[in-house]
Amino acid sequence: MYVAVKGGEKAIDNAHRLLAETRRGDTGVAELSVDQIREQLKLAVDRVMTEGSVYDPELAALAIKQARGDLIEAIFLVRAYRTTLPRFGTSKPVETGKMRLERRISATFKDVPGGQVLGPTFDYTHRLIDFALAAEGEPPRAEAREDFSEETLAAPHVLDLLAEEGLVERPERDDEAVPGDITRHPSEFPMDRATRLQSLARGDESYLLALGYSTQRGYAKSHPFAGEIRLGRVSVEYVPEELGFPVEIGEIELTECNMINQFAGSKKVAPQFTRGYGVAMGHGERKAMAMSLVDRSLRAVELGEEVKAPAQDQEFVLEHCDNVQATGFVEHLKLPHYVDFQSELGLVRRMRQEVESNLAEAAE
Amino acid sequence: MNGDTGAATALRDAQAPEETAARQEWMALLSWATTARLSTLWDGVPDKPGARFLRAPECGLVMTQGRIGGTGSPFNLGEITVTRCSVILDNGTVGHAYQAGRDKAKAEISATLDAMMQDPARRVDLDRTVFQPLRAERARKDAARAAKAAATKVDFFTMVRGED
Amino acid sequence: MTVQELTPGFSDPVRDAAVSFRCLLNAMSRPGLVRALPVQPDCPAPFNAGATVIALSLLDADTTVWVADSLASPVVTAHIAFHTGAKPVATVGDAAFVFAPIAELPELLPQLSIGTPEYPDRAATLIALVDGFGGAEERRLSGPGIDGNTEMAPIGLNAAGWDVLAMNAGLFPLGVDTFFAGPSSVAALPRSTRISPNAA
Repeated sequence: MYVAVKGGEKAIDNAHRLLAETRRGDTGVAELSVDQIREQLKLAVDRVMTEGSVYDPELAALAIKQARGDLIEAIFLVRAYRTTLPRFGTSKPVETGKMRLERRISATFKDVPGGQVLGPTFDYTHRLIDFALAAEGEPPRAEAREDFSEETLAAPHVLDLLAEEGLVERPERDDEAVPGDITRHPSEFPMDRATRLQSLARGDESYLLALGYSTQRGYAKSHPFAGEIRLGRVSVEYVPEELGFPVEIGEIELTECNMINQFAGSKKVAPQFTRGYGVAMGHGERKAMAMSLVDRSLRAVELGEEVKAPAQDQEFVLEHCDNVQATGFVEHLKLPHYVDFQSELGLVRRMRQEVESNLAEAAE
Repeated sequence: MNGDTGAATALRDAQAPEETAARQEWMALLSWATTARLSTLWDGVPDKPGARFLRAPECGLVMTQGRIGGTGSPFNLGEITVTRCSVILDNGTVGHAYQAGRDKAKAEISATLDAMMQDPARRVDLDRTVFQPLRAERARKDAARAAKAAATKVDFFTMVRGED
Repeated sequence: MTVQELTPGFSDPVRDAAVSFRCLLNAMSRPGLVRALPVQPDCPAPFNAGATVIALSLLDADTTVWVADSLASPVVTAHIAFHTGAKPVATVGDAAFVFAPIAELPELLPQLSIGTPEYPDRAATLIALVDGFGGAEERRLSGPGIDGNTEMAPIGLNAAGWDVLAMNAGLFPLGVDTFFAGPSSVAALPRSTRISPNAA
């Protein structure tokens, strides 16, 4: 419970001015531009877009600057900004099978059509601090291979090839289905998979990472393989009412992960591999992988598995995965609770008095 | 208007399919172009027609959908900022723009060009001076990116182990 | 009908929508009080300025709308679709916003969504088009947002209409909220307002 406390205006005003000065830091050091953040701290920008749930690199970069690099604060700023904008409508589903690939790997099939394309990855780096980066200089230029055709980077989904044989499940496709939208309707449980994916897509990366990790360590029946991870650009198409045909409104970069898990089968379904799905805006491989593990574990009921681990519990996972909600509730504890605490203090004093007088009586 | 059909048809002029395809292509290029580049190209366009807003430039959001598993039923992936604008030229032609981002000036130029391109008399010149450069730049950029990705492709070779 | 016949929307969308919303909010929070419209947009016939302002300020792609046949001209239909993106529905009971001439209110209002006990906010808002206020069948209003009593007399609202509105008020916290949209002004009657016979 809070009561209005007056008298803080001047202090708050000055605190915000101090914040602004501290944000800038030493003025002897050149100021960061939003363009620099967008280009050189791209993975931070991508995380803010994904969890802020708005694709707009300039906006995310600005939010990071304003938040002094606190990504959850930046995500909060983006979420607040989006509430000021009208929604024009819904895009056509993006077709990641037509992605213009920059990276595509499979840990399960060496010879995937299109091949293993490593792209810009931290994998296979030595994780040694590179002190050369502390000095300014020209970056090395990426190698380009000119002897390739469009087919070299063709990108059919690897798992769909196996689905032909029935060894791996194929996701149901109903283009008429209208998916739930957690930004428009309050959550209700059990939640269907489409709505869960929206919730997970904007969920906190570290939280999903920990939950995904827990499924690997045995807190849910899971034995995952990275069936496919891909990064690239897709076109977003929208059909304006006044035009009646799809218009390409822009290109977005996405990271997508299809995880495959063992499934022993049930009375109705023969044994086959099942799938978990993860996706992130920009380059967000860890997020997409963790999300795909948690998507799979949340399918426990649907697949007839016993729900006994936290990562299988829809309400536990989904009601706590939003870091803006979580930080709001945790950080609100900073706000004045003076009256609240006074009443608890009074209660504890009374209870102590009772105990003390009881003890005194017993001693007599 | 009650029902799903009336509203949409009342808004549109009939348009041949090949005309639609051409329009989709130029609208996509206008979305793709950077503000700076488009402004430069627009500055070079002669005889700009008079125009007024049917809908002034406006920033908003479009909910982007993905597919479960990449190929399955749709789900809501997250939103994207979009700026839209509609203009009507003095000759009565209407042009629209729907573009990712928050650039109102670019949306206004794009809506005007969309209207101007519907005039067959101007199309050839505009295509040569505005759209052909954009088309070439986009193809070049895509190819350069793909060539760099292709250079990171693993060429497996099999090592023989043990004895047959 | 071609796009060339589309009526322009607000000339300054952000500012015009904001001042219009404020006007409508004030109208709904002070039931019965007639408010002058802060802007006069181009109107798609037969919509008057009140109905046009309400459509442009309150409707968007997330709302559903139903327009009475007597008002649903191609230009109105196109205007709502182009400027608001609101989804037209075939059944009036499914609509969040319903536009109708005042004469159709007695028959229409009982068919509208009144919300549910869990979600009373899912009730419909009725926009009844009127020619103005005063000199018509008058009732006394009281309740939240009214200091004591006030009188209201939208032109064209007859005794049967008032009876339906009084019944609607009896459903509170469920029930329909109503705007009376005139050519230069608006007034509102939320479901929370009690309606009694005029003292006179």
